[in-house]
Amino acid sequence: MTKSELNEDASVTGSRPWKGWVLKFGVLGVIAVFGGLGGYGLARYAKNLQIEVSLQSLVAYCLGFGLAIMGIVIVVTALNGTMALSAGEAYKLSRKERHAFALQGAILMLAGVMLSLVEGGRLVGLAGGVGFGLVVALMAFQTALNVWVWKASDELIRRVSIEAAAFCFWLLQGCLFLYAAAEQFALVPTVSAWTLTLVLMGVYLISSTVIAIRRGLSQ
Amino acid sequence: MKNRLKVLRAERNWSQADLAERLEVSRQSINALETGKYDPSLPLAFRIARLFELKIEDIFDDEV
Repeated sequence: MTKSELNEDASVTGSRPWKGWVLKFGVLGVIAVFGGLGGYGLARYAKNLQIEVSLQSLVAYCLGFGLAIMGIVIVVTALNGTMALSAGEAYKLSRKERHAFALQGAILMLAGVMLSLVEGGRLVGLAGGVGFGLVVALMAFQTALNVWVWKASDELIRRVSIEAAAFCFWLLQGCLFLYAAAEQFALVPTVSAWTLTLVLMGVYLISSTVIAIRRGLSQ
Repeated sequence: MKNRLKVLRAERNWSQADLAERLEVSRQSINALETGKYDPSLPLAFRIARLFELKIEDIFDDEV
């Protein structure tokens, strides 16, 4: 076998790569739908309690539910110990991989809980100081988990995180500058820090997912 | 960048998980390397070369 033949063999990516993409985005779509339905349900509940539900609240609920569901799916995968690959095969996770999956799932769940808590704190009658204290405690715990995951990760996972962070920074700083400029010219309304946070989280969630899939982390 | 990882691994009857364990990376990283979705860092390329007892350029080819 010649060197070029060996190289060709090694670079085979599958006869129908689009099938993998369809499957991955299908799973993401299902999670998004469940997140959306859950968020909408919570928003309806808030409305029944005669609490005003804005568009940003609805987005926060949907994002929070979506993140929590993704986290639960990943934790269940870790507990189950088997991962479904896009080629239709079942891959048995090693103990180290199960551990990493459980941590990543927990981080996503915490993000979902924090988002929902900030928006839904009023629904469960949380006082401002107590609610904020709870969010700070959860964030500290999530940050510790994030550092733990970063230290335990290999270079591919770190690369995905860095690429997603860089993409978000360049995209959002440009958008933020333009919006801020438009705001200064009184062309657009002033937005809250919470709205900006939701935009940041949404863009990071989508970009990190797409980059992770493109880099083969889901296979 | 093309590489011969899949062939070298197959020659030794190693699974992706076996190779991942030997290189102390995730199985997904091995898959990403083999399918050309990810190029390794220089330290990882050296580890791979040492494991297979080959030169880096005998495993990786930057000519498209």
